[in-house]
Amino acid sequence: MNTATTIKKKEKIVRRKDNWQLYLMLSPAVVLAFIFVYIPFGGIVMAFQDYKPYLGISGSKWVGWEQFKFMFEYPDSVQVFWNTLRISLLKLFFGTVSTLTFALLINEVRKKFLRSAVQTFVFLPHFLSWVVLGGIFLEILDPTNGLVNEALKVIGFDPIFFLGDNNWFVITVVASDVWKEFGYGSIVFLAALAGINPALYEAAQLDGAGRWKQTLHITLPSIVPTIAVVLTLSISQVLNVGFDQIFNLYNPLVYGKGDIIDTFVYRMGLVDGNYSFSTAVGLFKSVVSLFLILGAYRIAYKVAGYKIF
Amino acid sequence: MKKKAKIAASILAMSVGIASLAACSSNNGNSEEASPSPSSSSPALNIVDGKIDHAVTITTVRGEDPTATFKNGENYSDNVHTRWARDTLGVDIKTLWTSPTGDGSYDTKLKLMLSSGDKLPDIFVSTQQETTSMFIESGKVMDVSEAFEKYASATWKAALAETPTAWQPFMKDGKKYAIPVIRQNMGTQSPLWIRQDWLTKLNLQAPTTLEELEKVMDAFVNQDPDGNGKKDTVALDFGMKDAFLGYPIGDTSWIFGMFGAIPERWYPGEDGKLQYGSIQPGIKNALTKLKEWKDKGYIATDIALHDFNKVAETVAAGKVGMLGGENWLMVYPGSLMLASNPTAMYVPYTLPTGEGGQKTLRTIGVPYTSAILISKDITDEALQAFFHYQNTLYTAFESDDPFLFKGFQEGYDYVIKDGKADMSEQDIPGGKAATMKYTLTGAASIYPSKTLATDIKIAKGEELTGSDLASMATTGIIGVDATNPLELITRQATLVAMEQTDSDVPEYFLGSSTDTMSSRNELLKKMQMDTFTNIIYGKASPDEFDSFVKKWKSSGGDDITKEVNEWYDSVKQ
Amino acid sequence: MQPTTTAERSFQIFNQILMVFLALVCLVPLLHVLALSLSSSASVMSNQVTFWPIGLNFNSYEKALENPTFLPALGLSAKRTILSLAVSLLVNCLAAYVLSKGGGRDGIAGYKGFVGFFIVAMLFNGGMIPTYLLVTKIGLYNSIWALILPSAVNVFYLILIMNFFKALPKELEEAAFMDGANHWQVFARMFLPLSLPVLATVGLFMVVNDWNEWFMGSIYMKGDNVPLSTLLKSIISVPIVDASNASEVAKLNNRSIRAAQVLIGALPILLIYPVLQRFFTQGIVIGAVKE
Repeated sequence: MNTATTIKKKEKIVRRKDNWQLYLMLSPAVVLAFIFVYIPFGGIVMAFQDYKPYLGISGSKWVGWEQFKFMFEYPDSVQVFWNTLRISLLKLFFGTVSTLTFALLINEVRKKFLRSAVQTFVFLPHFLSWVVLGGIFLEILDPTNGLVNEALKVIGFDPIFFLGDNNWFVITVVASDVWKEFGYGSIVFLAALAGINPALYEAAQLDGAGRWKQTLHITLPSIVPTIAVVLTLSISQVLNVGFDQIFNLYNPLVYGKGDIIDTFVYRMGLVDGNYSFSTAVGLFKSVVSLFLILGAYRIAYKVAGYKIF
Repeated sequence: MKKKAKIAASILAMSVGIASLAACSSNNGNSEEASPSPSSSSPALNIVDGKIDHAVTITTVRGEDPTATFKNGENYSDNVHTRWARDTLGVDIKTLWTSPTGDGSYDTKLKLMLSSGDKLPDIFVSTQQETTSMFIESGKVMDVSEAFEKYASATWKAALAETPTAWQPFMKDGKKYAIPVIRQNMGTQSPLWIRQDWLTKLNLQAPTTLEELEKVMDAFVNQDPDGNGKKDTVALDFGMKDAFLGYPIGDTSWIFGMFGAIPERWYPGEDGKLQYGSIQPGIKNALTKLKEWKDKGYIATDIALHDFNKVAETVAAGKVGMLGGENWLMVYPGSLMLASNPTAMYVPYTLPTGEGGQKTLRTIGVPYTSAILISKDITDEALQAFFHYQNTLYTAFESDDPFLFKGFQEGYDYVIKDGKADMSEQDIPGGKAATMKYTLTGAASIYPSKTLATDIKIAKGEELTGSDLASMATTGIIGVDATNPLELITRQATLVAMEQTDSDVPEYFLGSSTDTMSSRNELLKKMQMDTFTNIIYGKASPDEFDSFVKKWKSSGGDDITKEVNEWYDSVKQ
Repeated sequence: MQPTTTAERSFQIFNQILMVFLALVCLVPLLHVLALSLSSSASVMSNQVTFWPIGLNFNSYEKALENPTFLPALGLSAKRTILSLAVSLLVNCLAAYVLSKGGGRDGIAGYKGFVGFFIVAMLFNGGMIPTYLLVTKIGLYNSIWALILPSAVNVFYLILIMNFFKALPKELEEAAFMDGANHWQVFARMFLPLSLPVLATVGLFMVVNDWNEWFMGSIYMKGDNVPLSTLLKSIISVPIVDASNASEVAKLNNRSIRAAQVLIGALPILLIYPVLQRFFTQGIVIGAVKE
């Protein structure tokens, strides 16, 4: 301990003398998070037990790393892991690009009425549940007489079994998710765009920069922090792909690329409510998330020179 | 750095401590308290004219049924039935909480109740086998064998004696830990439902063999039976999205059954031991045939996406020529099809014979729906009160008064007009409400043979006696409901099903999942779904089935078979 | 700011067409769902409905409205959404203000520790059972606070707000401190007004989440005291269809009720967004405060 302090010895930071109030301001969040998130962390030990609700955490049998061993040795777990990652990264990439592009484009619309109407409408798909959408997609993507395939036939293509072919399934899942969320997701970027100082644009206009140049040199750099924050936080969620969507659309034909961690855990749970196993999987996902978020943080710092926290 | 790790460790230790403390304190309810044992000379309740003097309170929790309707501002806790039970039986049913069943909330809450170590309610019903087993393992529910023997009425006992297997799921070490809520399973077997209007239009006969079935199938897709000029019908529909069995409408068991095996079912083989249907040789032929049918367009291109709802939709859209399904197919989804096409009609036929003229097999539903669990801490008074309540409902099968429950049914299920029950919606002030859903078990009390006898009389159009009508009293539907003519078809379908009861293969394994099942079932099931689906879609050759069987056996299937048979030996007398 | 060159004018036209197209792509399915919610059970199940109701009726809405607990549930939902918005916004903004100052001269000692504390809180959770035990043990069962406090700290929003705060011009803040303002005053009088766009965003997300969250309602509340989202969820929860309920299920028409549920779920954003709209228009905020 002593050596560490001597090595790291720096000049003492002199803080404002009323900075103790900052702790006061921080305390509600710390207390609430401690009570409602940290105290229940005790439940994580279930991952190392064979938990039975009636025995409780103190009474259930300890099994050590058994649940994790089971998880990693399970024949399908590797496939399911890669499926999750594949769908997730595709969603992340196309989702971010489309959301950002939309935000930039809608921001260019000068007609006030059109702008507000479009902005309101694009939020709407976010509220459609996948149970409802599942029914609609089954209908319009029907391989024999669905709307989409009728259209394909008209322009001379063979009908496609979108939900029954592994590759098309992934495409359908990614595309429908992008469609559903791009409008809602754009709100964050719109807020960031609204925060840009108009004086910057005025100056650029005086210099004779066109809209494209203004976007490139003012708009984008101004919202880089927001992009970095959103991307970093999304990357941490990479193993949570959206159970509801997959669950409502998948079927045995597309287990190959469509079966994800969450649907797998769901089917495991159907056999008998295995709390310990699902806790173990959850813990594994959280640890992966932690590494991902730290990685993303570093990358954001290196690439954009911005520390998000 | 070290310091940080220390802080983190202490925070973790603290939170673990607090949580396990909570769990600890919550578990003292688990101590081995003397449970009321009915054999000890407990005083009998003072029952005067069917009413317990000094009403006894029974606590319960219950799942909400989205099809239940309430009126007059009533709810599960306080309604015409609970008032009737309190005022005429002296049984005060106190509902601690309710939670919806359909989305699993009720089961979640039951498990949370168990985890929190709270005192269990006196009596409650569990519908999921997995939840029931958890309670049985917990040791917090009582062994009901003695109580049932001592307090249940002769009628109730006789009713349950007709379905001895209904007890099996709730047995542990030879003791019974729950009372099954039984149901009428005659009629859950598939007849072959055929669009009669299509048959007539194309001048065809109902098929009696596999070959004839294929001829009808061909006509149903290629001769434009719905007359819209488009090739948009399917000859046969069934569910296979999440499993191959378990779709009450769109049943596949008879299709495989034509080839002598039923997938996803445990039933005795020739040696009398239980065997798993999915790996029997007949399945291979069935899958080969299904592939052929799919190639010919007899079944839907997206059949792999068909589940119960999708099948119901396709039926409602009037696109399905034939399918297997329980006796109520015309009520749902048939009635929805009728709404847009009043001339459409499905008629139930006996199943055609299978490959090479062999007898076709099919499944039959289990004879129970749920389990009545009784807390170990129930007072003997409350226990007796519960049996008094339930026995009273079973008196319907001793009575010849159809209106013996009019105390809570009149004005809800029916109004009495000229000594008969009038069950039409508009005649009942404030609308119709099924009071059987207000009962403690949320279902009608059933005496299988008596209920069936009445159903048959109705199907045959015979005159009903007072006792026939009384045997229907617990359902609240007394006599033939003129407002629901489709129910008649339901009963006729039961008659058709009864002609082939030698085809019925029930599920023999009714225990909770075995050890190997817990760890391997998901894998084996996925393997099966994968193989079967790919064979039907031509993505794998039918010979893949043989390697599936090998892999199934070596990946835990053999162990499961052993465990299942151990269970079977333990319950079979 | 009128487009001047031909290139810009044609971009504007192209852009507007694209936007209208996107709006339609998002609107059309909603119209379909609206039509479903107003159609008869039979026409919905047989897939006849496109964008116009067939067999027009309001049964799905009535089914929800006639439920005796509908109005109390609506009230609870409204109360929960508003309370939760107030609590969450305040708690997260305060924390974001502190953390936005970093660990240096302007900030607090132990900054990194606190960031780690929140990141871990965001990524890990103890699971349903311990959280339930905690909530009930501290006496929140069946209390509206059980729907608010457990999710009050949202690290995602916290980080979002914090980064917005970081981008605010330092000079303004320093000038205020020079004039003798304390942290609370700087927070309330300067940071909050300057951050209206991000507050509107986060507020909107919170309202939408709280309005539609149903699980906490189903485990922490008694059956007759649940928020609207939980109630609707129970109305549409599909029963196992069997002989005893087939005729009721035929009347139930789940798909229509689900469709109605979607529209009820989207209601708050449809009501609030037009009001918040102005915060998403560029320049307004900084300009207003500069004044």
